[in-house]
Amino acid sequence: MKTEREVHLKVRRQESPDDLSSWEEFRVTVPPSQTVMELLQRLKLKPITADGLPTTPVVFDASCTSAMCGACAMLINGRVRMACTTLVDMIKEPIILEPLRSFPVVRDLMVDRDAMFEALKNMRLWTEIDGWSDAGSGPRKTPAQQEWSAMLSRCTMCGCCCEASPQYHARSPFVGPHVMAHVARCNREPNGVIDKTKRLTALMQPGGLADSDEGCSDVCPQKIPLDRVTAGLNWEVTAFSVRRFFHG
Amino acid sequence: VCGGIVAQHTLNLALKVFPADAVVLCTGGFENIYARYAGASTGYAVAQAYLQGATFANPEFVQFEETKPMWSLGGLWVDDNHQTSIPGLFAAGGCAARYHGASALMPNVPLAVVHGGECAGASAVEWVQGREVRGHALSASLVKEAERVQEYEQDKFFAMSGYENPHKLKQELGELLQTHAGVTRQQRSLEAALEKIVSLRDRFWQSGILDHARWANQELVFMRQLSRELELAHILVAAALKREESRGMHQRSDHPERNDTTWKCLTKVTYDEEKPVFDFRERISDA
Repeated sequence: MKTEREVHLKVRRQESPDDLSSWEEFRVTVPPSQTVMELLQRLKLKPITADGLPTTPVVFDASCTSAMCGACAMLINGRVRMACTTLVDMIKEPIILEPLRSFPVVRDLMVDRDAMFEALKNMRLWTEIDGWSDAGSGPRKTPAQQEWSAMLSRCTMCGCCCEASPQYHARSPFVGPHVMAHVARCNREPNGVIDKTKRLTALMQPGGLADSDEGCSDVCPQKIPLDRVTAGLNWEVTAFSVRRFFHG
Repeated sequence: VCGGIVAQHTLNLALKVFPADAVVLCTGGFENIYARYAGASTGYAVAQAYLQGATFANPEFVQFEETKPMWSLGGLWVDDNHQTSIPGLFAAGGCAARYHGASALMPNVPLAVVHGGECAGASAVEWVQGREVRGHALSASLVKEAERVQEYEQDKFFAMSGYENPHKLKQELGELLQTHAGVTRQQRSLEAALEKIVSLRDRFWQSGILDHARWANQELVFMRQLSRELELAHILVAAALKREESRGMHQRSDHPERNDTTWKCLTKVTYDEEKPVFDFRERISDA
């Protein structure tokens, strides 16, 4: 049986959004098969740098600790991953932790992902209802439709796809690859079809379309096939714009 | 009577009072006080309501799933309208104790949550409409006072400079509950646990806050939570000790039989500075 060992950890730290970042190194003793999140939690028990200086515990977002909420996405050795599912034993040392680059840093590894939610607001991802009345049971979905919506609704808004997309950065109007999953889901909902053209029109605005997927689907912790979804939506938008050109 | 809430922004740490005619708490359970939990709620809000006089019910009942606590089955005591013992304060979901006894079937949990929410929302509206004084009738001095109490507490946390690491205390508390207040319980080990919790509470005030930043300070939030978790752990173990029977998924090895004559009742707890006051008079009807 393997015993505890010392792990070399490097964290990019930043006091507040306006501060400059700096590196801090740690040596943390961990038992086998621990996740990066457990490593960070262990650090709180002894917040002392590798040089022996006391410091503040590393600030990071975490909620469910079981890959359901998407809060703990960060760059681990340069790759975007979830801290709660990445095993310390499986990655190279020193383990380098950085905040996601696509979003403004709040503090240390915590980032502000509001832009992802703002992007969803413009896409009409809801069904308009006029007043409240008992409209009976809703339309039925085929098992295939159900599976499609269930697969797309797994999106946790973790931001991994935005991080992987070269098109998503501070000076780009691109709404983000995650939006495609949400739009694709709503467009195929029996009730969502009604506003489909409005969503496609929104996607035709600057920053609406994704050029290519560039590994977004590879990094998605929920395994949403964003490449297929994006390609499908791009076809739909193309067909829609041609139709609109001829028929108004 | 409940006149609103005080909330804190977790980034800029600003305290804000939200005066309200009715408050509906939907803040989840407190299974996070165990070391190996599956849920993620720490139960700060329920503990705060308890400390301010709301009656707590069945703190000793926790749903276990393969030794991991899944949900706390207890919570704030609520009536049929989901109103707590504080008029105007409603609770629904994981933070209310109404439908589950000593164990819950998995599908019944979301059902209770959905029904509770539906019920609490309607009752809150009814409560507000029935009141004579409406429109956030909280006087300015009361608002100031509520804010001041929280500010005072925050300053107290920021001034904590003891030698103990609070995260170690939290770990100890979790392991303690895991071993002594799990599926199988026993008088002697519960007594030992209760003693330990009391000492942990003392040690908490000898611990130091690890971060003094006024921005995105997770340690301040942690200190707030831990102080309340210790209170919840206290009533959990104290209630488990009082309930001398085995019920649902909770096994008392020294009392292996279910005892309906004495214990077919709710465990109601109210806060008192000396020690929690228990009330076992509310019986569960057979219907």
